[in-house]
Amino acid sequence: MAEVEYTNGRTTDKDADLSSHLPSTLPSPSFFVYDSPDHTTVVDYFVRMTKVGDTNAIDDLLASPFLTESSVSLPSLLARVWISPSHPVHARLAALQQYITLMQNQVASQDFQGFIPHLIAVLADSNKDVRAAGANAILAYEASLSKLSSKSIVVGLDDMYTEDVALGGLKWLALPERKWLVESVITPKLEECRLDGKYIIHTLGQALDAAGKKGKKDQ
Amino acid sequence: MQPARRARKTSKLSLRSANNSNPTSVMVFLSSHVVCSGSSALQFPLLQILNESIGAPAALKLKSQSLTPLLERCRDGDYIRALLKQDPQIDTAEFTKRLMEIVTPGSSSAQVNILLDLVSLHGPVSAAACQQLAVIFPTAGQSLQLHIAQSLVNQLESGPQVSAFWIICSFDRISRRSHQIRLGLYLFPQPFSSLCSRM
Repeated sequence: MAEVEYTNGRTTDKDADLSSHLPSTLPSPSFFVYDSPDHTTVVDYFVRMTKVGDTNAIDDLLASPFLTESSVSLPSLLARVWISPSHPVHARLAALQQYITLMQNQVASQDFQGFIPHLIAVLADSNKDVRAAGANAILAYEASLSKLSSKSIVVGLDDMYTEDVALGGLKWLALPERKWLVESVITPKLEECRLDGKYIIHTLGQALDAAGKKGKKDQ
Repeated sequence: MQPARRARKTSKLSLRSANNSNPTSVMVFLSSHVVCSGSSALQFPLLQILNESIGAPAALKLKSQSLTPLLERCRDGDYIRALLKQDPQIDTAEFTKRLMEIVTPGSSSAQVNILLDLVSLHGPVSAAACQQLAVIFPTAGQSLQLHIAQSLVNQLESGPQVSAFWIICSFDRISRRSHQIRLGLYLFPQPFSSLCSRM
């Protein structure tokens, strides 16, 4: 059933109260910190503002200094919202749309490869609207690849997750590897992925079955 | 290590990986996000993709190796409980099953030992670890089968009743399916009902 809103795109007193609880700084730049009340407050505020449809409040939030100080804060906020099946669909769609805008305005010096896994995850979602938005976000990322060079700075290289060093560290992809994954493996099957949440399993399975073979050259 | 120095080191690693095959690099990349993210909402779908999509032995081996740090992290009961509480829409039984499926038939004895440890810890993933041992057992070599059997018999003798219940439920099924399975003969020389009467 469609959600009905009676706020007519305006914030209520309750929403104004929520905004007063927004932090001025974050204890860590990435939003993949699930035991931090500050991060949770920002996530809840974003979700609430997407529900009431207050685009001004969302724009103000996304331009907040605590979200722009580090390049990983904004995309990690959006990714945390869109990957969670517990958040309402409208919030997840709004997060993916904001990410698409971010990709479209991306400067050549920034590389958002750290969010490819979150986009792949959303292609396996049970909600077709979320999958469709995820497919559009993949296309936006693919379009941004042409702007990148080997000198682009990886967003989240050091601060994507708090535990990455203790657990062996995040691994990254070189530009040709990213192009192979996005342009040769995922994008050609995006229409099937929009229709079927299981299709990405089949698609990646075919591609990754060659992994681990010594001496195997690029597919 | 200082962030800047680590950043340089990571960049060098990623450049070096460009010389490897693309599937291997992508597998390692995706696995590292599963291991490091601490996000059940990300781990849940990615584990499904990695567990269900791959069938080639070399790829399965690489997947298990790449994801083993997460399996080891599961020894920490507080960590896994926090992970399971993170997202109420994620089915905890299915999530723990996917975590334990990191170890597959053909995995190393070291990885099987982690599953045995997880059973003995009587934590939130112990039941799923026991069920995965039952999946692995029929294809394991004779010495590994004996090792699993001995460890589980020790659990039956000295562990709590709930642990015995997991072991009996998980392995009785496979022992009934095939009379050739050594663990079935080892664990169930007496009728199943008499074992249940101990609980």
